[in-house]
Amino acid sequence: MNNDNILLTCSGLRTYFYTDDGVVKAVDDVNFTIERGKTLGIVGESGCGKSVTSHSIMQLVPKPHGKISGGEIIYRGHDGEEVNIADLDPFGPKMRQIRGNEIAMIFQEPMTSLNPVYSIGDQIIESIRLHQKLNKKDAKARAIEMLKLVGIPAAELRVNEYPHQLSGGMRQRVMIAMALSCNPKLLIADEPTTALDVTIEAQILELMVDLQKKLGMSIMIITHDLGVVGELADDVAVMYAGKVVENAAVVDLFDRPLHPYTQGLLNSRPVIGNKKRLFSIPGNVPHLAHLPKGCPFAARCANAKDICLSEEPAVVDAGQGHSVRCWLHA
Amino acid sequence: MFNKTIKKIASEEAQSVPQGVSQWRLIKRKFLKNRLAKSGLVIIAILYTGAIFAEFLSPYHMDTIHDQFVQAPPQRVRWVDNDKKIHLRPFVYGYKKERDLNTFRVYYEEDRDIIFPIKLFVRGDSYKYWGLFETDLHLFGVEKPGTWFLFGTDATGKDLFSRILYGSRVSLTVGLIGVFLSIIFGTLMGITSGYFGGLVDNIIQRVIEVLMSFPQIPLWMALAAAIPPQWDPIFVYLGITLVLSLLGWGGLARQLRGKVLAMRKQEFVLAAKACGVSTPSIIVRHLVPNSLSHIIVIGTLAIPQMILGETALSFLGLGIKAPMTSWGVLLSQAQYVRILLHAPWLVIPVFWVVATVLAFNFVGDGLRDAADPYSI
Repeated sequence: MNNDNILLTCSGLRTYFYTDDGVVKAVDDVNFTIERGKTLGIVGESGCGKSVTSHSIMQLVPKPHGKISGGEIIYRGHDGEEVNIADLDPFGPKMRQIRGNEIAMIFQEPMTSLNPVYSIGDQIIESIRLHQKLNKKDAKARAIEMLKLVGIPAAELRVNEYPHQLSGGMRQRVMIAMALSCNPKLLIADEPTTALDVTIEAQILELMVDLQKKLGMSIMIITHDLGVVGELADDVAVMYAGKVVENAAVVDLFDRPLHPYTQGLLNSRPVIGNKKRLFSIPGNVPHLAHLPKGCPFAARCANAKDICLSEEPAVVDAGQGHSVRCWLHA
Repeated sequence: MFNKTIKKIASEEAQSVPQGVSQWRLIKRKFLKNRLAKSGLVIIAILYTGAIFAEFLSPYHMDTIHDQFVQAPPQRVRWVDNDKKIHLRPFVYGYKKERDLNTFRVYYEEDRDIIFPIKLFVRGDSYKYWGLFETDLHLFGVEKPGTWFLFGTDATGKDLFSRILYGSRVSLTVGLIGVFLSIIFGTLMGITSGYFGGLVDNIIQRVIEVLMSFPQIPLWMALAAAIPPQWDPIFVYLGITLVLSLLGWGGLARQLRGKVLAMRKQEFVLAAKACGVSTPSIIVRHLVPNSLSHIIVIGTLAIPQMILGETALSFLGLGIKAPMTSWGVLLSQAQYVRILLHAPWLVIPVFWVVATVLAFNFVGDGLRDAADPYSI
């Protein structure tokens, strides 16, 4: 793989929360790479560390409990200069320069991610003027241009409207417009369609694919919906209990799921026309502060061996860039 | 095809939507529907107009001593005279001074032969309006040498009505300036406390607890007594405001802390951070405007507290000093039962205090109901 094509490399990333119940290893030894212009999907159920991973990349881990305790997040910016985000001061100017300008983010709840007291135009303009030296008029023109780009009709009128006048799908479009207004190299989308209904979801996903083609940014999409991943992603990282358990190209993953958890996830998808009871993985996610010995998935795994309960599996290379963290493939 | 339909529906929707309605317009709309709040606003407007134009509206200067009419009761305004003749212009009878031969107390009786017609724009005591120009024009009054004491006179023979108007300047502004100062303290402390949390939060909250657990009046008195008596009255006045506001910010800070605690977890704050907005800018541009409606409501409801505080301090003789006057100072004359018996009109300033406090509370309640315009 050509090194110049890699936008972001996450290696050995550990983000821990120091709580009264002990250390919660929300993200524990996570590795992945994001290529330029490509989409990485991060899949997993609630509480597996997907969002914390994305917050770590933005250095937005909630203080004072959370902390990036180890690993590197190497970001290669415009001129090929390498920055280790994990080493930057979260409140420093360098990090603020990266946020919004180099890496932008959209959130799960479009209802609350816009400030209710400002018109949407003002909010996009604020973001633009933070990173670009534009006067108010030019920034407003740029905001209208962005709103048009994300398919908001009558953008010249809508720009003066307040968040409460827009529907959920519209708000998510505004969030995308705001995130993309500074031409970021990476867009992190944290469950961008979870709060939206399916038709709007389809529109938003289509929009993201469309914009990626036009603007050429990389996308890191976080979701629990394998359908979204199949539609959008080039590569997929499956997370379980703070670890990436399987990492593969999207087609390869769907064709050849190696980790029992991934297999379970794929089997749990509803199939239209099939009226049998939906498959579900038995058991629950272990508490991250009290992880069992060995493989965290062992207790729910049908094929668990003795070694699974006593020793943690290492990452196994299964060829074609496909890697899995499981004793069954060691 | 699918996309086209969507775009068409959306653009139709866009045309039917009214232009951007900001939070403030929504608040205003809802506030104006509340009659009680509106009438409160009118009363406040009248009171402040009285304070602004006090020299012109009052028939006498507040320091004019009428030594012939000490503790004279209010003179009744009449339309009909002794001979049942109706006058087109209201008038008052002059006073006859008598002495009760049993108690040797002076009392005043209406002299039905002397009639002073009340006129508009009469010439009376000269004054310098706001220190700008000198004039002797008064909106209403009787011509010299006649006298008209609408609310009677006090123990030194000064017209009470004029003094209430002059006093409202102090009483009504103490609340405004005091609340303004305590809003600045309270907002700063509350938002800092809620946003940063941890040790900062702990320290600020403990300080507020200590402040709020002091008995209020003794603490006021102690602080007010610390103001040097030889100071210029205007500095004493500012000192009193400062004392009131230093002790009044705790409640606001507490409420704002709670609001910010809830708000900092909201995604728009995270989104602002993700856009690279700096911490001071998040506080000033995102947290303060979102709390502003709350701040204004608490501020409005705190104004009457301040006014009452000033009244209480002045009543106890620790507040405003002569030559300034305030409603509290005027009421301090009515501390004795003897005065209440012989000159009950000296209690009239109480009605001004009550009207002001009620009006501010009505407006505050109306604002509170209107401040959350999205909850319908």
